[in-house]
Amino acid sequence: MDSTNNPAMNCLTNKLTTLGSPPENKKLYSITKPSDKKNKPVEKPDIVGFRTDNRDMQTRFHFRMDLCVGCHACEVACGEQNGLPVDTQWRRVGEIQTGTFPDTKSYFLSSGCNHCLDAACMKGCPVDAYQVNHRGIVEHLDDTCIGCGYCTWNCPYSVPVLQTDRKIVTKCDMCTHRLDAGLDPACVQACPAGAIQIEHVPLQEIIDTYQTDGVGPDMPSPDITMPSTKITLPKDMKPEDFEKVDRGFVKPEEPHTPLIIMTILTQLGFGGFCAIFLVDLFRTHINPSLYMGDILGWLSPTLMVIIGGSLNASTLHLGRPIFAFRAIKNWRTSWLSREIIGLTLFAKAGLAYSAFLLLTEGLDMITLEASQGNLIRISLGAFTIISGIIGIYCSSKLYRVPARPAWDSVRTSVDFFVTGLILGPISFIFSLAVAMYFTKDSPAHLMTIAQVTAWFSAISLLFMVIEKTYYINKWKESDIHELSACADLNLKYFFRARSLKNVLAGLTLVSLIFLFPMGENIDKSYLLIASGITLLFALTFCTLNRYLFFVTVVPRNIPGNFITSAHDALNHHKK
Amino acid sequence: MIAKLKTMLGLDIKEKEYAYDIDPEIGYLSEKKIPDKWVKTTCGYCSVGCGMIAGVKDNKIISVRGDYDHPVNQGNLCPKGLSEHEPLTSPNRAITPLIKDENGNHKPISWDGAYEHMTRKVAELQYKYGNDCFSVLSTGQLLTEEFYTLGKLVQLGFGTNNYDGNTTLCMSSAVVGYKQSFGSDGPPGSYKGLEEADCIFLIGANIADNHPILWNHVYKNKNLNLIVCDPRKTKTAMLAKTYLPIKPRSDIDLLNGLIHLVIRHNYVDKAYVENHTEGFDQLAQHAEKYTPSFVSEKTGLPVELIMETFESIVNSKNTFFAWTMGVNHSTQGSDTVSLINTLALITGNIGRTGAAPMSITGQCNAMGSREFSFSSSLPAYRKFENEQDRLDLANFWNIDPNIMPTKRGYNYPQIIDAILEGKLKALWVIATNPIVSFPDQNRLKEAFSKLDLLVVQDAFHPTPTGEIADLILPAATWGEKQGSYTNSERRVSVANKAIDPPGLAKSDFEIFQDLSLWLGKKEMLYPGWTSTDDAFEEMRKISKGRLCDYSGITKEKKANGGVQWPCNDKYPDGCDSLYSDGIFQTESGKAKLLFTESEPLPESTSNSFRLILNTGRTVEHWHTRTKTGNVELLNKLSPEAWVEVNPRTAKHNGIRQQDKVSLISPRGRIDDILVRITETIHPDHVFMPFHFAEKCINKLTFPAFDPKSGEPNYKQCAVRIERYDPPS
Repeated sequence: MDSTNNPAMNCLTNKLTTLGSPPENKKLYSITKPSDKKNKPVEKPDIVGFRTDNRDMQTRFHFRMDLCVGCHACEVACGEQNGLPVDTQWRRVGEIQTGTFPDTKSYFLSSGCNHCLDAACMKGCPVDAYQVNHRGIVEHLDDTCIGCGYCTWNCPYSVPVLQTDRKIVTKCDMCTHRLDAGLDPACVQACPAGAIQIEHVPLQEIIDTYQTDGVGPDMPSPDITMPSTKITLPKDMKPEDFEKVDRGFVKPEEPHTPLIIMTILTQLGFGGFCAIFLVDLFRTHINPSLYMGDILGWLSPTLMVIIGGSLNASTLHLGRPIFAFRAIKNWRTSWLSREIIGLTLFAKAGLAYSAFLLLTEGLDMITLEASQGNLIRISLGAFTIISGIIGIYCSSKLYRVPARPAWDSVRTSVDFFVTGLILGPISFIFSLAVAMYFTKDSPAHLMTIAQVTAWFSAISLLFMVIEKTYYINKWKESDIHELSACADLNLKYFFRARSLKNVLAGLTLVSLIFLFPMGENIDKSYLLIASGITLLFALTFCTLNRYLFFVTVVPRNIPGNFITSAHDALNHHKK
Repeated sequence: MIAKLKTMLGLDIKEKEYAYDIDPEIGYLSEKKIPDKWVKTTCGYCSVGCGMIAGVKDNKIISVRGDYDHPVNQGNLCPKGLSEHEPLTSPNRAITPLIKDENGNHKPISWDGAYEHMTRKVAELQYKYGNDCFSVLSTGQLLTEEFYTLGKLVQLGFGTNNYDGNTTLCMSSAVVGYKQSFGSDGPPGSYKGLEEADCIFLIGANIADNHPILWNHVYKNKNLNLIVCDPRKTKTAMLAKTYLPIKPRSDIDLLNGLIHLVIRHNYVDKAYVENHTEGFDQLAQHAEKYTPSFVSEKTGLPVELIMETFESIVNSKNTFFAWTMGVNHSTQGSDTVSLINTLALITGNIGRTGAAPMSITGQCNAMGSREFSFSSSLPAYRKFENEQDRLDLANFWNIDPNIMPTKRGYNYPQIIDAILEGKLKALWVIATNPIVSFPDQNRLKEAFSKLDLLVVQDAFHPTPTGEIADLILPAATWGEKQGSYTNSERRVSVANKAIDPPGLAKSDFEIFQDLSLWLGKKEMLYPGWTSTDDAFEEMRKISKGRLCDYSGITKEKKANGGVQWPCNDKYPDGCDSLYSDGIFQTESGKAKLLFTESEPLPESTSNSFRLILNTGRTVEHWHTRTKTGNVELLNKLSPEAWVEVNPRTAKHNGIRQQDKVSLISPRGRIDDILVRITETIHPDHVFMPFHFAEKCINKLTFPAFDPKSGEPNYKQCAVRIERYDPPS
């Protein structure tokens, strides 16, 4: 008799009073007989799961949806086995339904970690806190983890959890130490219907079959991460007919304030440097005089402080800020590591560029010829811009994860750059106004620059508003639940924040177009106030825009438990 | 301060707290869950009666696991069982006797003070109004020894027979149904039957939610043919091969229809009917009109489904009929049970493994109370009315036969009625929570307000009932006391004491013993008793030769997986099936083929109340949540009450998925309920779980009772649903 089908076999587990290697007949998880496949070299795709090992077998969960009765014993057993606090569940049971009474069909999905072959958690982890062990189990290294939570964004099954009392991520390890001792994982042992089973199968088998075996109703596609879990669906089930029962209950995500600040300010910095560099580049065409050097000389260090400060501020969202330095370790696969490297590079380049500007111009701007130090300065400027592009791109790329469909598009990158293009010019105008305020003259040609810049900003802003509105409305009708739910959050739950955002967009636009008229006699105080207000409007707009970006994203997830999801979502809404 | 800083910076990730180690019994395990010792015991939640081991450390149970050697669960436990240790350390434990002062506040009092107050007050009232003015509402949660002790204390010590248990809210109809058909209570089958039956016919039983560990047996059935009859498409119905979505109460018509088909198509087990039953001719006559088309009309089931069910039953060698509250919670519960018995009898499905009409009980020891509680019958299935039975017991106990009660007193709902009428003045409530669980709460609260004395004995405080009590007696609970439980399949298993009760709390057994001292009747009632073992010894002796024969049950048998009564010289290892010899406990020795017809529902729907409210359970919670309400994870999995509504009904009433709703019956309303719009429920019905005190379903339910058993008709009352708009 196949021991996977026999819960009574599970029962024997407990009789093993020592943890030595149990006799063969008491091995509880089924060892699939090594097939001839085993001896063939495994064709390993170039994926993260095979980075370090050369195993050819994989231990996996086999979930029998056809047997599960939805009793939730596995969830409680998992918590007991691992001594977990209630807010940290490594195993969850969800429900899916279809049909019309009395031909209703309802099934349950119990899921721990799927120990994917192409594990997104592992790829994204900036500190290499994940490793694949000899069984193919994706293990999390608690010591290494810095609590950035990026894996929780990457996993399409929302498996890794930020354990609040430890401030690190933790997750299911298939009770790997129990398996090594010949014992069943706690969930397997607890199941009264034998619906959770463990199998040890040739890796090639999973590579060959994950696209069919890993499919569950209303679940993320196995193509994202190549899950090792096999799901046996009930006979004649049409998975595409089913919907998870908690679909209607979406809870907004965390706003991640340090990340809002960090992304907005680095993008502002990037936009600012773009403006500086352009002016610097074409200064001879503008009028080789004047304030420019002064402006550039003090604006760029200010931007540096902003960028540096915001990068440091972002470490505050880590569970373990003191180990932030580790985060560049996994630059090979993690966009988070790359973001940090890119933005740091940008910051350093910007620093050099600013220092050069400050040293060569800030001290004696009138007399110095623009040609002096030209090549070095322009190179530094160009390098700043290029590293800025790389930094912002990496920064945007880290949000573009398949687990979060609303972010997973080039639109996120566009959004990040456009934010820079809105804020950069405005901060430049503001600097101009400040500089003019403290000098005697008010040359009209500078106003031309201001106006051109303002138009540039205005167009970027208009583009962003139209683009966002278009997509939110398009998503309303989307078949992809995560997108329609995102639209729903934008249109209903965050109606006020979104309206406010649009009002601010309008105000920014109006002030950009109407506050900077051409003319000989510009009131300097007026200009200062007008540009200050515009900057304030624009900053608030961009911050709200980014806030909505964070809170309205709907992560992919496995089906949930109706009453828990409904209770959580409605209570959250009440708050 | 430094620790806080360390956590903030990320230097401390609580590695020690989340370390693992090796437990000799369990293996690799979270270090904080590794106890000093594991104590074998039996679960104190439901009647499945799972064996478990409780991990004890520093006089606390820190973990619970299933007992692999126990035949009932073979190592499995449901989520409630797995977390059974958690309620024990809840801040809601009753740890000291409390008395209500003039201002209505509860104040601690000594045990002596509490006993003195209770016995004096009861004596005063009994002197004034007669012994019968004192009434007792007990439970299915105590140990069998405690039931036996309590029964003697109430009937012979306090001298009142107005004594019943909350088991009347649960399975008293099964008791009456069995008594009517077989001459005695006693579920004939066993869980092994679930593994071996060719056909399992569940009537009004949602075992996936309510008795999930039974699935451990169902799942082993190799040719599982599961038929589920339920107005709601429950988790269990989803797993069935044949699902019968019947109209509420029309189970009677369906059963009559099946009997009709069995007789018409000559599938009657003639030899069995001839030799072991009586009343077949009347039955045949009665069943004549229940043609499939007639039954189809009554039940709302297509004829094909009725035929399919009939064929499954008659083509199976062994059919296992099982039911729970869908049958029992009805004004016709007792007769429905008898009708199921009749169907089983005429098809010869009794007396073999896998062939039985089986009542799956509710509470962990409802069976123990049936056997020995001395409330609905004399101990060991003896009859109040039978003079010989009374004499036997009186002789055995060495007491005056004249003080033996000659009839059963008021049952639970009659006790409430009698309080309302002013006939009963004092009430002692033990381990139950009527102010959540009894139908028509307004009426119940009015009754309780008329009492001169309300004593509540419970392991938890405050509970809704405890809050209004004059006196609270803090009791030990599961894990803190020693004795036995009997499960649904008559299996007597040990419940071991693993730790001491908290504070001043005492085991119910001790409290009963102490009270007998205050009554001056300790020696009369409990001569020489020191522990529950003495009670068990006496139970063994008085049950010898009875159907529920304990005489062969030893400590060892109880401790190692338990044993199914009758356990005696003939069946030293217990007995899998009752009535395998075809001899019943009736005077003639033959079973009675009883029948009945369905009556209209006690409350019919109207224009204002168009929907039928169905009530039930969810797997995460137990009864009124005095226990499971203290388990964080269970509360997370099932945090609040909800009402299930069909999408068409929701649309018709302008209710959307994210709305909250109000449920209104002629007796009351519940507001702000979470709604679940789902196709698992018929458009004419709504369903709501009964566990939640805050959203107490019994504000709505209709106070109609089975006239024979006293069991409430919880399952159907008329309601309407409205969208709830919170007052702004």
